[in-house]
Amino acid sequence: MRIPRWSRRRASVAGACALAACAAVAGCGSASSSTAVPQGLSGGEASQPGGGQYNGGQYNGGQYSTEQAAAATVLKSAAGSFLAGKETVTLLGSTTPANGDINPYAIWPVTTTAGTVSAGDVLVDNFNNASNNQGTGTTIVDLHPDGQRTVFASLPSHAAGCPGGVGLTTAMVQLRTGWVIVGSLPSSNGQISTAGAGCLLVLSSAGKLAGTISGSYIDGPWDETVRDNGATATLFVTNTLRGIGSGTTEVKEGDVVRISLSQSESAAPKVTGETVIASGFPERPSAAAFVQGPTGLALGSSGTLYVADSLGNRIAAVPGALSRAASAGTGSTLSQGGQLANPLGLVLAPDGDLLAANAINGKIVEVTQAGHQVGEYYADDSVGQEPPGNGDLFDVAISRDGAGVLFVNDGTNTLELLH
Amino acid sequence: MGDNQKGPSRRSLLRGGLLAGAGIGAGAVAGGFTGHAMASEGAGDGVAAEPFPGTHQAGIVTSTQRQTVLAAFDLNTAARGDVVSLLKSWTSLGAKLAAGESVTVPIYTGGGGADAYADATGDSTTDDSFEAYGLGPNRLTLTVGFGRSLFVTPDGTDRFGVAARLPEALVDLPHFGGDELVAADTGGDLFLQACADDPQVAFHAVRSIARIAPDVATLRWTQLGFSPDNTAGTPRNLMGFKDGTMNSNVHPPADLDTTVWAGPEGPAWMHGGSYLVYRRIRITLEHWDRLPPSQQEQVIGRRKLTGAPIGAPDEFSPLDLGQRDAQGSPVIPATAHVRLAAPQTNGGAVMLRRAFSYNNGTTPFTERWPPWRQALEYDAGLLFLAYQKDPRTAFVPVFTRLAETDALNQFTTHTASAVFAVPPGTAGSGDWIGRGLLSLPFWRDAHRVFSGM
Repeated sequence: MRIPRWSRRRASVAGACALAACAAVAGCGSASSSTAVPQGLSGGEASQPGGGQYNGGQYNGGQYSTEQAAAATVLKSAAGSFLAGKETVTLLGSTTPANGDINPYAIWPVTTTAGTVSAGDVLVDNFNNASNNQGTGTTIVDLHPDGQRTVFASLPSHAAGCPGGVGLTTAMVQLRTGWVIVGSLPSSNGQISTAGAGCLLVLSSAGKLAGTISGSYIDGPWDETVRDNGATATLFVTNTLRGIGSGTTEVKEGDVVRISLSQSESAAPKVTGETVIASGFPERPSAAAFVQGPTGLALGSSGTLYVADSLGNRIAAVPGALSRAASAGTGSTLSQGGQLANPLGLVLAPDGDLLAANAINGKIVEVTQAGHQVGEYYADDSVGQEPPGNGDLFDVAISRDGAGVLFVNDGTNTLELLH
Repeated sequence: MGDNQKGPSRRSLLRGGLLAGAGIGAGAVAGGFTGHAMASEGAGDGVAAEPFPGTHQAGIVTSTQRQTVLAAFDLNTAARGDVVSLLKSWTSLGAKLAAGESVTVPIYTGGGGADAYADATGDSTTDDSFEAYGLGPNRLTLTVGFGRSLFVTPDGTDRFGVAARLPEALVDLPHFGGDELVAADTGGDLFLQACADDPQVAFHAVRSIARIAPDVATLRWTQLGFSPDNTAGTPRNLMGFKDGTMNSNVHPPADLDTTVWAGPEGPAWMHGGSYLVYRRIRITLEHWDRLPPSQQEQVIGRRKLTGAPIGAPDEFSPLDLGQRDAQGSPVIPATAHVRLAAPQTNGGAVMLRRAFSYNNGTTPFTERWPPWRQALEYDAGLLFLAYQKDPRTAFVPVFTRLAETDALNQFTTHTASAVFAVPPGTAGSGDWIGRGLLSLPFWRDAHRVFSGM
């Protein structure tokens, strides 16, 4: 299914409508008709106060017009870039299982056939349950290559060792040993005041809960990436709840923790060490977005970890992530602003470029490891949000054949493929 | 009927006495509006009545009235005899109500059920509650349906010896993405749709019928709805768009036998009946009002003022879904509601919709689509009432598609749902709704239903 690209027609459509309304008014005046010209069809918008309930309040209060303008700009994908020539979006399927969970976050293209999953499947978890409250989703669905959908894991809403309960986040990896590690940032009613620190839930390859990883180094695990060596693995996790209160105050306490794991196919992963390798990222509770802070992670081949610093509207680089003994602070800035609009999900494309999913519009942006923005694709331009697609994207991943970009659409609760 | 009705009504009011003394409302009517009431009774629409008996139940193809009260009931009995007695009383009382007569409520206490009011009040009176007295029939229609739970319990147990007669078409709907169904407002063993041009007439009908046997048939949920006058054209819904240009009883499909009425493909007792799918669709009007009309039109696929399909001159222009603009994009967007709901994109599937709006005030709500805003919002929207020959080939496939890709979904949330088998109408005196289903022996009653038609 091709998603219509309304947003870039937006200006012309609005213009035509305004002209039509002008003509109608003139006609009425000359005819002195007693029939009133209908009001309210001009498309006129009130002036935008900053930080309103809808406009900008979603992520950046007061930046409404700037966000609109940024979303409307086009960065044509450079020749040879990963996004170049990718113009088709295919709907792979609904991510809502029978229990009604919605708001898909994490995407994991399965490469290891184990338990109930097969290479070629795509796992997607849900952050909300059927009440639509954030931090309450408990399911991971498995979208099969033939279009079938099964439920890989249906977890309890509370688990021992997981403070606050279960609300699955965009942190999800499958290890080569078959174990799946998925983050929980739970709430009881979708409001940040009820959020718990959460945990990492360890699932068997059959989707059964096998244990939890929690402790002072886990506080709102929001995204993960892994360097997997089989018997050992190095897991990186962003924490976005650290220091967060229940108001709206921004704090600079978001961090990235490196967790060393040891496991086998029969023995669940055990934590053998943990080190904070980056810290001081801005975080903020949000009535609409629940919480905002450091999100997507991607590990470059050189050992540099890239962090989507959402509120900083930048991609940070943390060198020596596999080995460094101390925090790099907020790292160096690889790329900031431009087409980026509060990036969330982050993934490395096969050519080494980074792809970031924007929070406050529906774009996926390509950035080289040298820091150049070389293209963008408006993956979701639903006009139900301002700017179009605001809040619809979250995780991005590369399809197993390396040729396409998988993304979740939180508006339609679907998994889609750009190719 | 008219004289029978307004005569005593006026006399009672003018005499004062018990009525006028009973409440401020009655006194005010007597003092201030007597003249108006007389005039409207003489010439107004209140006297118009819809026939109660017929091949099909009234309230399906009947021109949509201004008001509706929907009610679902759960049965608290294991005795088929209770259900039979109840439906006989519903039918006889319903016929009187539809004629605008003041009524005696045929109280039925059932075969041994508990009395919900025992030790609290005296026995129920049979008196008319009187709030519709003198208002006239107001085109009241009463339409009765049977839920799947009347036939079998969730584990498949036969409830009243009629499980073998459960129509295959009376399905449980699948879960659709985005559903946020409130269980207490969903389903039900028995269903009653009261429609009338006056809200008090419609409510009086449901209230009177519910009084018959509150211990046998207990109210599960009620829902009120309204529709603007349709004499000036297709009425508008709360989104401000004309609703019902296609697939509605304002402009019904040509061949009802192939689209609405159940036929020989199903059980004999449903022949001439129909299947109703009810969905209460909450619309985030707050969000909708922030979308410029030009973009609302892209979501719907029609012009807001005229109802014309985008790219076409008027409301009843055929939908040209293949039309493309100079850039090659479809003129009616790929996810526009009219495109996805149109019969030509759904293998010809057609439903007969009776659209009402509803407004339940305001409640705390989490909007379905981003932004995930939690606020006190209108609990208002659309009562989707669609009659069809078989939901398996109409509502289910059509809405499965809509639930996935309709651009309208970002403004709508389905919060209540039900499917009912609506049996055929009654032949008149002595006949009763559901006789073909519940009478024994089955074969003889089935025969009688059809000979009666």
